[in-house]
Amino acid sequence: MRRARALVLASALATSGCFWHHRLDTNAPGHVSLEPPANPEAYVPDQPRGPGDQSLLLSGRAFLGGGAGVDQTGTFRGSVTVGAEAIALYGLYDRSVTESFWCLFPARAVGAGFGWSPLQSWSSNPRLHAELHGRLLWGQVVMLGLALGWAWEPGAPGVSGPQATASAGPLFLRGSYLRGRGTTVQIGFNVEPVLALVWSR
Amino acid sequence: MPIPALDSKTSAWAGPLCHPVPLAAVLALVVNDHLLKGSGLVPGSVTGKLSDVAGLFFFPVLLAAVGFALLRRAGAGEPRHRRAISVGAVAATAAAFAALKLWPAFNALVERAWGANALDATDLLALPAVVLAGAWLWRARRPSAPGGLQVAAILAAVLASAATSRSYETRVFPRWEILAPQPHAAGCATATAWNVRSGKEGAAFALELSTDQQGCAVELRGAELRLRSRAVAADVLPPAMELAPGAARRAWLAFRFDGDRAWNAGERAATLELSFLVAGQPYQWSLAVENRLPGGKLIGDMRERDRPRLLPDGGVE
Repeated sequence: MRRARALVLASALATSGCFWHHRLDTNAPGHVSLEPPANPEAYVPDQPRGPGDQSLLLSGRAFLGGGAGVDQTGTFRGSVTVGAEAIALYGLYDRSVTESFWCLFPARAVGAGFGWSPLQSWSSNPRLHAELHGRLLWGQVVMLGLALGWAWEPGAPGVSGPQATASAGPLFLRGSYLRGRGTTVQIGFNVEPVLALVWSR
Repeated sequence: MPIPALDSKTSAWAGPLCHPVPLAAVLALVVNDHLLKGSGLVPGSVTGKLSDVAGLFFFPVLLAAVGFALLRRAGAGEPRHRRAISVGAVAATAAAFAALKLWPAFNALVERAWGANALDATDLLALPAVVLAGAWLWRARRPSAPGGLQVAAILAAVLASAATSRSYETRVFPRWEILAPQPHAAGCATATAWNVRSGKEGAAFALELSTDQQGCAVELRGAELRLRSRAVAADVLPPAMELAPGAARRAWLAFRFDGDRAWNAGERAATLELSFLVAGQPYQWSLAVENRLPGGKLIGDMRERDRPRLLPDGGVE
């Protein structure tokens, strides 16, 4: 069991924000100055400056969250949610990235996600959510994210409300208020392999 | 420092890897490949060899750990079996590394799957590291690694092995190359041209004029880069000059255009048209030029030391 836990945690760490890159050759030239060097001896071939990259990041995220909340009767209860999410982000890199499999995070990214939580402890109805995402690279290593959106239960008319999610790498903190269900706050982790279509800026 | 075990049926399967020494080698590989290479902090000759040494030390230990795990699953685990696996892991690593550095077909196959790896026989100097790995596996004692730590150590080692160096520093850019034969004779003058800069802002070429006669007067009357969709005139033409033997003169010809648009529209072939007046006689020189990626790839998965060096004549070393 301990080994399984370690494996799951290591997998989450390994795949959160680790991308498969596919590079397009759009905008391939770099930046150059066309002003001549003062000395004609310096008229030698020069490397352009890298313009950085932009990317379309497509990810499928599986998440598990646990926490607590207050339901519509005012009772304090624990809560667990298991779900999946599809996210599309537009990301900007200050430097060029590679085609290889490695954790190269964009400096910043914005986009949207759509989630489905088939297992949740407060209701037998699956919950859906849609969020707008913003992400920022911190310390060259961790992707910090903030997502704001709306959650609802298609099987329970009128059960809907706002949801906010903050994340740091594979960890997240999610708060939501659904009319007819109550307020919950959960922490959890996710596994998020990402496919990035990268092209030059 | 206690060394992890080899010789017990109950020993940790990844015990030899769960120790500060091989884990330090994994860390050294990651730091070297992803931080030091191309940073300018350490010479390229050092970072190149450090990866080889670190990899050749921990990879046989990783391979042996996988073998030990399979052995344990099969219910075996006698010392002789484990020693056979250790020897096999060391020999396989050494053989694969030698093939990678000496055998072009194998090197190309690995590069396709894993990214660039230099076909460089001098890298074999790092091979003694596998002997150290063999000694490490052979002398291993006393298992004590918890299962979670073993899984984490294996994952870290596998990721470190699989992840190639960052290639921020090896991005290659399209460059306008002159295809015309050179030098070009124009009366008493001889002209040579090469591309100096190519980018989103346009392109700049250098023109070198020389002579072996006294008093060779040259005037560049026109310079145009003719793309498929438009012709771009040079920013500024150099003043008329009088050449003397042994004193070549250089001129700077800059052509401003949207390099991104030309590249994205597939306008990658053009003509550089130069009009001269040499000793009063008109001469025309048309040079075919092409915008292309060195090596045909946008990202060069090359090591820093293998990057092509551009030569003053526009060629590649």
